[in-house]
Amino acid sequence: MIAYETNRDRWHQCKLVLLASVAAFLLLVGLPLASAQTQTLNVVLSPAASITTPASVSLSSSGTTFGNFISPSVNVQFYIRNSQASGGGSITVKAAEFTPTTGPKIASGNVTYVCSAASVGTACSGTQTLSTTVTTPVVTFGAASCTGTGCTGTSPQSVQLLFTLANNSQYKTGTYSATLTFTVSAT
Amino acid sequence: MKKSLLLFALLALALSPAAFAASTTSVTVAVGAEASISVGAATPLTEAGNFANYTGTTTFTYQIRTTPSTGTGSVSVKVTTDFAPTGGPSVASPAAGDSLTYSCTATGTSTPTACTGPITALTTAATNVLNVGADKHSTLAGDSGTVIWTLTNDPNYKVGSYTSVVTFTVAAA
Repeated sequence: MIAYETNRDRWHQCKLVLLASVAAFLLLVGLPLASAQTQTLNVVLSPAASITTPASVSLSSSGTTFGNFISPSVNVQFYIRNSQASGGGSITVKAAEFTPTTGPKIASGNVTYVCSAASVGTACSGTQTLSTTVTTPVVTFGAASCTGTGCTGTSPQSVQLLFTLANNSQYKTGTYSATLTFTVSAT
Repeated sequence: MKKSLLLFALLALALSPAAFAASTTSVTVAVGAEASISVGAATPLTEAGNFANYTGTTTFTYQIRTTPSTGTGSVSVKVTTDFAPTGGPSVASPAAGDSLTYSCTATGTSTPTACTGPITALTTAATNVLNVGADKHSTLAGDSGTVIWTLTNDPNYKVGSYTSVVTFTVAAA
């Protein structure tokens, strides 16, 4: 009985010695038990912009004979991010002529528009005449324009346009279409 | 490594100083046949001498656009309110041999064909002033025409001032 207890104690003593030896070895060889490193992430945000316009807009009679054709409010949506200090940018529009060619003519100044409710930037002022040869203004952006959390305006940003087409008796009857190209730029 | 990142950032800024994007919208309009007319407020009928017929001229302008091939257009008149008060001339119930008649002139880029008078004006139906054909277009300011009225000067009419209303109608198809 006495011999049995002595063997058991010795076995425990051996385990303790073994664990202590392993710990001492690990400390001596310098194996880390925990580690941390830092990594710097850099991102370069350049000026960026995108724009979405309705696929089509129908002009309809204003209700009086030979009254102008008018559009519903055209919602132009866009995202913009430009430079903080010296940034700028704009939204402009340019048209391709109505087809077929026997009806209204953008090149003759038949189509005008007004801009309103720009959620960021400055909407065009007064009545603008749509052109097939030059771009005409819709919105002008100042520096530090942006879209999203922390930015002035909405996300996406937007501006409203109303188009007016003069109703000239010289137009032949028929259906006429023209394509407008809206361009947004950011610097 | 830090220098490489800095160079990359500077290069990226140099290569993309501006951003552009575009979107297109199709604008469509349906232009139909259309017409409008403008007539002076009143036309006085006057006599040139004793018992000479009363005459007067109404000038009007009209804008018109007719459909190619099958289109037509016209201007017509109808006496919508007979002369009043009673005792004078009447369109609806004229005395024997009396009438309100008219003749027409018309000109413009719509190349109208004016009526050839005399045509007796009616309270019961519109009567023709001019016609235009298919694919005709007035000027933006409008083409013009006249209706030259002649009213019998019947001694039976009581002395007084009499007024009627004539409605001009323009149509285009």
